[in-house]
Amino acid sequence: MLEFLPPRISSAVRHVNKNLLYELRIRADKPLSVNLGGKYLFLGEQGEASAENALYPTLKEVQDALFAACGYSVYSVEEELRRGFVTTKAGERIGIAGTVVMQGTVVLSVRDVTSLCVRIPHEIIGCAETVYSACLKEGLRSLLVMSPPGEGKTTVLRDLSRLVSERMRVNILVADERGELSAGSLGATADIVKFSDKQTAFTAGIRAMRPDVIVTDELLGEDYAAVRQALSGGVCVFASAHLTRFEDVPEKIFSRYIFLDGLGKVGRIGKENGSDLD
Amino acid sequence: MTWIKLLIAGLIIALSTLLGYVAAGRFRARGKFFAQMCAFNERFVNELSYGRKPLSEIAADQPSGDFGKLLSEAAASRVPDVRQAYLTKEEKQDVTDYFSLLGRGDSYSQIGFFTGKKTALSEKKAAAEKEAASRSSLYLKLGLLAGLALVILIV
Repeated sequence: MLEFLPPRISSAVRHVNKNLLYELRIRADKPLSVNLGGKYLFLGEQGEASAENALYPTLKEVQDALFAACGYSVYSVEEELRRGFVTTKAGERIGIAGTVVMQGTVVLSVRDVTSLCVRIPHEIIGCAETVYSACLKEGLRSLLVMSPPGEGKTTVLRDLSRLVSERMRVNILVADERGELSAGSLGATADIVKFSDKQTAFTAGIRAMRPDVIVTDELLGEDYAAVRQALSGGVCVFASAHLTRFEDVPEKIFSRYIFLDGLGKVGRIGKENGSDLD
Repeated sequence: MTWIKLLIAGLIIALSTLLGYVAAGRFRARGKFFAQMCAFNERFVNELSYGRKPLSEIAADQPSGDFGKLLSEAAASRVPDVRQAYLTKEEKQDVTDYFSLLGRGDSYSQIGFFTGKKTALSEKKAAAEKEAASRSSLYLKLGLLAGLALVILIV
């Protein structure tokens, strides 16, 4: 975990509890900050520090960290880089900010990267138990897990996949566009399609793998067509989206809407029409 | 006593021939180095066009040898320190430059650069292998002749 970090940053991170570490923000010439248990702090060489005493990563450290995260093989992750992130072997997702090079409307590359947002995946066994009990006890149905970014949607989906695999023994197709979902146990009956856009993963996956459920994260407006197609073909979909209100869901095609409230905690569960589940 | 003399003469000739073989080792190593580098370059260009495996995975399949070791270093963390004594100063610099660009760009730019290296590497490989063959033969013969000369002198 976090093996790609340059020595100075790696040494600073060693002072924090990795179980509570959700995010690491590495910005060139700005204080190193972490999200520890939901709270942002600055990190110095000896752990938590004030902004003045924090560690200030250099531009070279930022770029070295990114190169290492690419496995020293930028060409192997260029498609991901164009979309603004790279996922390491351990499943850490690294968002990048820099100068985007465009050709017409197509992103050619991102150069002069100055900031990295490292999201550390967590596997919380049993965190989807509430969702399973409330929504899936009587059989499979489609679900949309919703919350603002960083509240554990992926962790809940991962655990849900594991629970469904263990208890129902159904075939699960994980359409893991960002390589984050598969950074943990998804169950013995899960097949993973990584780094493909949802339309391709859904279409090819349904044809090739005949899944009973498709699990995918971070649905965007353009992805709902693929979900609709899967649902009409009799395949259930467990998905997540960066949304907080039922009204903002572009297409109300799911059977249940799970609203998270804080890190991985289920706030409320809505029915097809958005009203609370009894 | 004759058999002891014959045995010693045989040992001297064998030892001097072995010395000749060892002396030609650096040329064989050089030939092998460039052959591996050339083969890797071909494979890498293919990988860039199709599988796009990261360097660590390519390095894991690389046959053992000096080039393989340098590639593993490059895949693990950094531009390797090229110290092979059988390479000239310019060759060391070329190899260092080669590794310093490996993996540091998108497939389009990498294909362009490493395809451009193909011809030069093939020529280097052919020359190194030719030199290795001729030097190996020459050093073996010299070793054998030196052994024979020594035996004649002693006798």
